[in-house]
Formats: sequence, structure tokens, C-alpha cells
Amino acid sequence: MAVGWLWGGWGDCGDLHAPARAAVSLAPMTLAARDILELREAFPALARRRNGKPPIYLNNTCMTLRPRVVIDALRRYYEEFPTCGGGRSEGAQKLDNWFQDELRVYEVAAREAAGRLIGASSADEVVWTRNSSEALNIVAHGLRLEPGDEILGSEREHNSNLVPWLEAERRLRERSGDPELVVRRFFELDADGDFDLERALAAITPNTRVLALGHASNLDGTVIPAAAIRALADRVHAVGGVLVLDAAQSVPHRRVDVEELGVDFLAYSLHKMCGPSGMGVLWGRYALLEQLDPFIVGGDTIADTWQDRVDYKRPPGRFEAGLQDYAGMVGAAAAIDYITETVGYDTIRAQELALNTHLTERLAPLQCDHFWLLGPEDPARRGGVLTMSSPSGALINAIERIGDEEANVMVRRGMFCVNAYLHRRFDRLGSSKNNLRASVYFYNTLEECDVFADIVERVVKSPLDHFDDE
Amino acid sequence: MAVSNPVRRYYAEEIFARMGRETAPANFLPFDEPPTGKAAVEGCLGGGKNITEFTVLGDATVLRDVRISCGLCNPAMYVAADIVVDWARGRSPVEILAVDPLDVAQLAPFFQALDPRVWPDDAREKFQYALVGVQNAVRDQQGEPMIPSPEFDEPTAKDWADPDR
Repeated sequence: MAVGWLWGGWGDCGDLHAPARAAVSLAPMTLAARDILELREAFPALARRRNGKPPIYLNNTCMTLRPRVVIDALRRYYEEFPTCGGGRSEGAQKLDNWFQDELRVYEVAAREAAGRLIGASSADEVVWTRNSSEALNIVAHGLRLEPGDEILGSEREHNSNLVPWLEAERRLRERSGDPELVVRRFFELDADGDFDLERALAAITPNTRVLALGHASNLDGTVIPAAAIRALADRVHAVGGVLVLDAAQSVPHRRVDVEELGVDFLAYSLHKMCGPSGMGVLWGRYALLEQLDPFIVGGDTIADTWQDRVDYKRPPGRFEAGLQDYAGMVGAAAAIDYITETVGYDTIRAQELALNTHLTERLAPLQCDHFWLLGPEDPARRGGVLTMSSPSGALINAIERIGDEEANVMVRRGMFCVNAYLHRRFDRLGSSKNNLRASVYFYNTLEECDVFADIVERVVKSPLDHFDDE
Repeated sequence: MAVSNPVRRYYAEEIFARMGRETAPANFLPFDEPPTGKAAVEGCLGGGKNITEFTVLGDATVLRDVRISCGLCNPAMYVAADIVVDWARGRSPVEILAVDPLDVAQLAPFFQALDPRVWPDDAREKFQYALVGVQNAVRDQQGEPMIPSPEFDEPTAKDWADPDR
């Protein structure tokens, strides 16, 4: 099996004269500083200070910061029409009362915005969820799979796009009475972790009923090209399967169009794109949503009930059990508008590329036997993500600790919910758990990247000097 | 607190120097076969995801091998785990379970392996956690219930080898 570390030769840590592979070519210029400053002023969290220093937030792959316009939208719900919504997709134009009528305007607009963002043909194809994980669980529980069906994914699926399918496998094993039944299979990625279309296509069999893929990796930022997803969708459709796309790490950073991609289900999260925490979306082709069994049921999912039976609503209502996060919907609409209209995907892409190129140029030359970067060499293939790895957890911890204590740097350490991939590739080398990820978004600056890079450089050049006070 | 000199030396020479892209100290590599027992302790940074996992290969008479798996953050935990699994390898389950992790005197073999002259307290605390981890892995192998890890005293600058302590 190929080993997925990065490129180039390496020397001993602390050897400043060790030959380092030439840094990648210069990136496009970052946005004008004044433009970034203007954007940053919209984020109250960036105005905070600890020990006289601002936050340096480089954990955007997990969750982004929120601009004032989204916070105001959340407050608007609670201050102006804090009531229960509902009546979704039931054709009701007039609800019960003043507040509900006002809320409904925002509810409808939010669902339309969430669908329009990804090219959905109808707002009724949009199901509100708490996050991408819940969205993927709805699909994994709702599809009517049979023993003999196969579920396919890559070797590097996020736990949110792995565990629901492992549970589906477990259920099918129980139904079949065969404890050895293999339902989920996976295909390998390239040695550097990049996607390989030929391997993926070759893994699809006549039994493939589900191809569940992460669009962009939260580990190293690599993205499956649109043409590749289209080709996979065509192939899986030809054998009677569906393509489920975990777009949690792509929709916040690039334009995604479900029709262009040809996918059948798609999940994304608003809290990764300046939206409210705990708001996500499941999109599905309407005919498929209608075939999907509801997962969490109860109030608001039903058309009617009797003592011995239930009639469910049509989608999306049948998937939205109980009272919903109406403030989150209002905030979601504000976030989508902010990302697409105020900031723009072109700005996001340009800034991420500039920042990640700069970070890569700073950190790639530091690679040595105790420190390296994961993923492809070219930062243009890694979005806004740069992940470091080491056999020494103490080294990784020292970077994180010093960054937090000295400069308010916020990054993420660990296995980033891709445990299965890291175990498979790196357990035998003893380094699967020692990773540190810096992930940028459009509001980050070159100066912030330099502060972080300075700390990494200091620790990597003399790692044994930084292990105190753990 | 500062990492003690014996821990720092052991970590630098016996562990860090042996780590690389293609290798790690043998105690930190997984088995090629399923373990017969495993257990975890939260000792290195006090909870959260800082969990050290111990796996064992053996039977009712002898522990053939013991390994460590963790994103270890603390040099003292690396050191203590390395020393404790070296000690446990080849011993019987009865012998391993007989050691009381709360009795510092019984930790003497571990301190001796670290540095006969100075018995630093940062190593003491991690020895205790590592011992509980290995013992629970043995209990798991034996089909016995694991015991919850005691709350060991926070490390100080104390030297347990100093008779005037």
C-alpha cells in the first residue's frame, strides 16, 4: 500500500542547512489589505483581545466565525417573531397568527436560498438538519437496502460519511443472518491522498447501490473534480445506484451545482460557512426523497395519525421532526446571502489560495524526519487546509500550546474524524494520531499565517526545547 | 512544571531519536495480529482525547508482548509507557496485577530503568497511569472487569530517590 505523506527529501529537525525541496511557485496576490480589513470588521469575534492580542482563528475547517449580519438575523427571530413555524410544503399561505406569518416569510426564503446555493430545482428538495452528519444519517437509514447490495466509499471518508454506512452494514448483517456479510467497500486514494478516478470507477460493481463520497477532504483539502463526480454518478446510475455527496467541506468554499455533478443526495453544514451553529442541509432529488424512509419521526413529520398507523407528510416535512431551529433558518439565509453576495466564492478561493501558498512556502522547507505536511504538494489542490504530522505528539502539542498561549492561535489537533484513513495509512509508522491542522478562510491574513508559521518554525527547529509545561 | 532531566534525557535518546517518517520505537507500533487484551487510561494530559491505549498479546501464563498507542502529548507519558511495557513483557499476569500503583515503593523497577540516581515525580505519576493501563489490558485479556483509574497526585518537583524527601 502506498504511504500518503508528502513530497521531497528531509533532514534532521533542527538542521537549518538540510536540503529542502524548493517551495512551490508563488501564489496569486492576496486580496487588498483594505478589502480584508473591511471584511474582518464584520466579525465581532475578531475584535476580541486576550493578553492584548487578537485571536488568530485557523480552525475554519471545523467551524467558521460569524459576521454581524448573521448574528443580527438570529436575534431578529428571537426579538421579532419567536414562535413555532411549520406548514412546510403543505401549500398553506396563511398560518395562524401574526408572528407565524412573519416567520413563514423567512422560513420559505431560507429554504429557497439553501436550495438555490447548490442548484436545487425546488426548495422542497431541501431538508433542514442539524449538520451534515445528521443529513447523511437520514440517507443511510432511509434507503431500502437489501443483503447483497454494496456501499462504496473512498478510504478517507469522514466519520460522518463512514459510520452511518457501517451501521447500515450492521443492520444488513443482522437481517441476512450472515455476520461476515461485507456491505461497505472502499477504494484507495493516491499515495499523496489525492483522488484517483480510475480506481473509483473500477470499484463500482453491478451490486453498488450507494457511492458515498466526501467532496473535499477535511484532512488535507483535496477536492474531487466536478467532471470526476459526474463520471462516477453516471457509472453508479448505470448499475442502479445513487451517489451521496458529503459536501460539508466544499459548499463553504466553492460553487457546487447538484445538476452539474449529477449527484442524488448532498449534505452540507451552514456553520462551516459563517452560518449558525447546528444548521445543516440534506438535499435530495425529490423522487428519491419520496422513496426514503423517515429516520427520526414524530411531531410535524406526519400528515395524520391513528392509534395503529401513520401517514407521513411528503418531503421535506417528513424528515423534520418536532419544532425546528427557526432562528437557525433565518441565520442560514443571512449566511448564504453573505457568502454569495457580500464576499463571493471568487474572493474566498483567491484568499485561501494566497494564504495556503504562503503557509506552504513557510512550512514545507521545515520538513524533516520529525515533521512533515500531509496531502499534495501544490497548495492549489489543498484548498485552505494545511495539515502537519509528526511521529511525536509532544512536538505537535508544543506547537498548539505555544500558539494558544503566546499568540491566541486556534488550530486543531488529532485525527479530524478520519480515523479509519489515518489508522490504515500511518498506524504501522506510529504517527497516525499526531496531526495538526491549520485551515484558513477569507478573513484570515498573511500576517496571521506568519505568526503561526513562526511558532511552527521555532518548535520544529529545536523540538526538545519546547516540551516543558505540558 | 518543567520536564525533569531524567525524563528529558530518556525521551530524547530512547524515543524521539528513534522516531521518524518510516519508523517508531517498537513499543509504539501496533501488533501484526489482534491483541488478546486492551485498555486505555487518560493520564497524559488529564482527560479529553488524551488517551493512552495499551494492547497485550498473551495468555493466562505470560504476556508475550505489550504495545502503546496514542497521540501522546506529554514526554513523561511517552517515557513511562515505554518503561512499563518493557517491564511487563514476558511477565505473568499474576505478577503484573500484583503491583499496587498507589504504592510508590513498588514502582522502583520503573524508576531504576529511567535513572537509578534521580526518581522524578513527573515520571512517578505517569508510571502509575501506565501501570493501570497495562494491568487493565491484562484484566481485559483475562475476562476480568477493569478497575477505574485512581486519581493520582499531580506531579511535583519531588525526587523519590532522595533519602531526605
